[in-house]
Amino acid sequence: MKKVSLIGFPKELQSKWGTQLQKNGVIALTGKNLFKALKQNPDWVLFYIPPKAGLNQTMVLGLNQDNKQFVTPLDIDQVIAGIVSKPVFEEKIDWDLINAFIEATKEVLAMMVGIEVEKREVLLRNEKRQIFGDVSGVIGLTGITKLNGHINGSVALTLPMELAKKMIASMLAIDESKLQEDDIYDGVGELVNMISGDAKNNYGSTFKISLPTVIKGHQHTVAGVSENKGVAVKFQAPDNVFYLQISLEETKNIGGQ
Amino acid sequence: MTILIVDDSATMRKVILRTIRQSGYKVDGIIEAGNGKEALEKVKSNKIDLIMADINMPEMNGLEMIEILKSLPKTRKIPILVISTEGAEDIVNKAKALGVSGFVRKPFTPQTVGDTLKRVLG
Repeated sequence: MKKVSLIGFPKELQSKWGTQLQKNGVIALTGKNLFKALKQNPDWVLFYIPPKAGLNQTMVLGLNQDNKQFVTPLDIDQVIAGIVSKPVFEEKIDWDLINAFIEATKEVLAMMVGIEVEKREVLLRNEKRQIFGDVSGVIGLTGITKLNGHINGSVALTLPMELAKKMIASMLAIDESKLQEDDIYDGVGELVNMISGDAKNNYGSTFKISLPTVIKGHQHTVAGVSENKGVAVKFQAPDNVFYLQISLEETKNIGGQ
Repeated sequence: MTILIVDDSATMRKVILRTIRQSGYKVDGIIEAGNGKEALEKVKSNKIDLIMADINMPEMNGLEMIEILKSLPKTRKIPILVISTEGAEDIVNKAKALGVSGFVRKPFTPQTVGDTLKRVLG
């Protein structure tokens, strides 16, 4: 049977998860610290990570002796999947990069649109399937990040139409009634361009951004960005919520960078 | 003063124009271009006092355009102010080496643009 050490888990959870893990052929070892846990030679060590630094929920980090890892929300089924079979969620999330995008979104909207927005939550995987918008500015990223190495990816700024109109009218300092449809789409493209450029500059790593494209359509999703990878950051604007979806994939270095 | 604003976003061209006016400069003529190639066409038939240009644009990017403008007797003395999201050191250095007069990074405040214009135009 596989052995798993639980580090930092509340007592009541240790007991509950111990039973669940045993049902799945995994023995749960409990230790007060990492040193004691490692002495029991576990196959996996699971760390309980309370919400902080960009996380809006408790997460579990799993590490094994082969240097494999997974991160999931505090969900026993996903943790078991990570231990006994192929991890449900294996990607490495570069929180420095995500935070650079969060700060860039706040900065661009404050400076260019004149509105203050706040991060409400960070959505992972299945939660992202619920994201819909009326206009999305999408930009491609390629190059090198600190955690993931060579990456390809996309960033989408997904807005409800009402908020897109408010933002672009404010950026142009005109009344919403005078906005042309093209202004809205062009403006949203420029916003995601500035957010991505600002994030890139703040993050301080080498990657390139493409020219933006814009998707329009009532309650659309952004294929490739909304799929089962990456994160989506939900922001609160004065009267609406909107999303920044960040999806990165590690790639082989074929560009010679 | 006649200004050529080169940016692939029409919205950004409008924002830049408004910011110049906010900074107190009297703009008599506005000429717009969506990329470097269009801009080169526009300078042929217009007398331009200042060029404000993006870097990342389709068809012909800002650096290619600046290189050509700085090589032509008619345009090489026109001050060029870059306004771009681009912050990569190699690109900024290349723009400076080509002889741009100022570099403003997007997003920007009217104050930043105003200060840079003051330094460039006096």
